[in-house]
Amino acid sequence: MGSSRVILLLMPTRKVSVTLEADSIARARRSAGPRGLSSYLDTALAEKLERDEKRTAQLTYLDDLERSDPTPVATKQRAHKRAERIRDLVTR
Amino acid sequence: MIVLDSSVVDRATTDKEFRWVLRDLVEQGWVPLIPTVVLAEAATGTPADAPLNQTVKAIGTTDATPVTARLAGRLRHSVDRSGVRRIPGGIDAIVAAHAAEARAGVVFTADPSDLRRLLADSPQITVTKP
Repeated sequence: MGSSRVILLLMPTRKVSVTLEADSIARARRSAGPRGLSSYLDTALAEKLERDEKRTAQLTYLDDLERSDPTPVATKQRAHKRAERIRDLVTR
Repeated sequence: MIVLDSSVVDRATTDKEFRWVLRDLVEQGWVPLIPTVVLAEAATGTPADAPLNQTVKAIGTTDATPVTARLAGRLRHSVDRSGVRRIPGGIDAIVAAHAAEARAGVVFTADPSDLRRLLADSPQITVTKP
């Protein structure tokens, strides 16, 4: 606990003006509690950035593989159908 | 969320069809995740680790927090209480906990039975072979 607080204090911060949905702000304030809205949004943004960076890294890696080891069209089609089935199972 | 178990991390590099399944899901906004703990089962320390290392280098690994580890314990205990003979191992439980924390997604594994038992109460997570 103590060390994370030190890290937070040393992190450079910058004040920005953004426009957010009023309902989201109210919900975020409720969830944030004593942490405060800035800290809550900072954490949420960091998590979103990490997720997006992972996705980009994966796609870049798959592009690299594809250039050196191309996949037949029929295999891609099978893969697409499998992915669709998985999405259906998760979102049904 | 796409969680890769120890038995499939290398296939994200070597298996063309699986690569395209992953691509399709990632392009739709799903996020890949390799629990750090699976390296304990997947890595051998030999040149055979090359595909595993390439995948890990590309997307990194995610450590279990104390919250994740406690959730893993709860999931294992739930299976234990259900009366099955074989209780899933700790690594499977942590893989399941990462998926359960995400609330929705897919776990790819070569051996779905234990992970399905661990995630029996998470209907929006599907466990499947690659």
